[in-house]
Amino acid sequence: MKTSKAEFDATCNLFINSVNNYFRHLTEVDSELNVPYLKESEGLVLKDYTGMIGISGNRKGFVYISANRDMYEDLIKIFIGIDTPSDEDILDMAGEISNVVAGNVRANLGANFMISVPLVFQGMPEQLKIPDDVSIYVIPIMWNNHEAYVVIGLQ
Amino acid sequence: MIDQEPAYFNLGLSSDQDQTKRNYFSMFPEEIVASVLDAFIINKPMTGSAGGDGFWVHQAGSDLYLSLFDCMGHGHLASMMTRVYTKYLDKIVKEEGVTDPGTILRYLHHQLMSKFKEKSNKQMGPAADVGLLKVNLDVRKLEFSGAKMGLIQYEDNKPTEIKASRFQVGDMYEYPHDYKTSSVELKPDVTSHIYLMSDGFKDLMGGFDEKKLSSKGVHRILAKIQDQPIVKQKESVLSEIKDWQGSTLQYDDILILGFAI
Repeated sequence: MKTSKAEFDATCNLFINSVNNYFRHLTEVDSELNVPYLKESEGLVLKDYTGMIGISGNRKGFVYISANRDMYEDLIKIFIGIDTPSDEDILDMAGEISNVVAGNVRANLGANFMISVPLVFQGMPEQLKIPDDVSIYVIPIMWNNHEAYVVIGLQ
Repeated sequence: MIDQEPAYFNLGLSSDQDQTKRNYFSMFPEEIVASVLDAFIINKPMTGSAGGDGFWVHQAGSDLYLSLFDCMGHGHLASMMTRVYTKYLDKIVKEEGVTDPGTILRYLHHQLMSKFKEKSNKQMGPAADVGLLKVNLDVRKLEFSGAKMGLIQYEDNKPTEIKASRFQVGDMYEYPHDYKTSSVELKPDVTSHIYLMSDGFKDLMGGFDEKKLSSKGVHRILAKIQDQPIVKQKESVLSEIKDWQGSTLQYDDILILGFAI
């Protein structure tokens, strides 16, 4: 089933709220939303580390959150207190944030909005393919002076 | 915790490319343990591909050190804490050469205390249940120390339990933590089955009236499998977990080590 424009906008808003809530409640530092845009050219906007969640059910697509290492390092310091996290810790943090954000959206949308376990990667895997019929919405955010991308792709 | 689908949307990536999964599961070196012991490991994170139950193994000469730890919480954040534990166990045993299981746990507690005591109010605390075994492979000698994680032994189909200290590692810093090392008695010419497990096993919800499996349920399962070889025991325990759980959600990570000596 294709997602209508109104549904697409509503879903994006849920993700934006979920990201804002995540930072506000868990870090007590608000995130700032920059101007979102529809991505039309090929390829993806990615930073160093990415946590990606597949979406299925009534809506099909994906969401990912991508940021550079320093943002994840700050989050790990706040959440756990590890001062010098390893690469594995950074990947875990990328998975955790995408999982919580998507999980909160799912809690709003109910059982027909299914999410996968997070897929976590560094850089841009060669195998990564984005289907042609997916509309991609990029939401740049700033948190604690770090830029991250929340990217939503829905059929 | 919300249900999650195991499959990914068609993005050209499979879970094989999931780096967290690879990092996390590389901590469970079943092959290393199985190369020196007749052993099995069952690792079932509560959700997704990472969890708070960890495993560590080290061989020094004829001594094999095995540790299971059950860190607070679940998922990716708890998975980070398991790496803190493996790092400190490496430091204490490999670098500093500490060999007594109880002393290793005490040093582990002190390491965590010095790192995390001043960092309160974090989302993920550093406390964990820990079981640590030292197995001498030449003379068939076994020593154990536990922090809220006991050891179960079956010999001639009879169970024995070595109780653990009531204090977790990495918690309640205001109290002295003294972890005792116990020798596990092994009868000559009788195979002994040894089990260490995180509490996710006994706390597994299921059955007819959706209750915890409980310690009694764990012993019921272990008693049933005593005549089986270790390889078959793993299959049987997994099958029992599945039967007990049915369609009930798993609320905690499960990690079980079993071996014959």
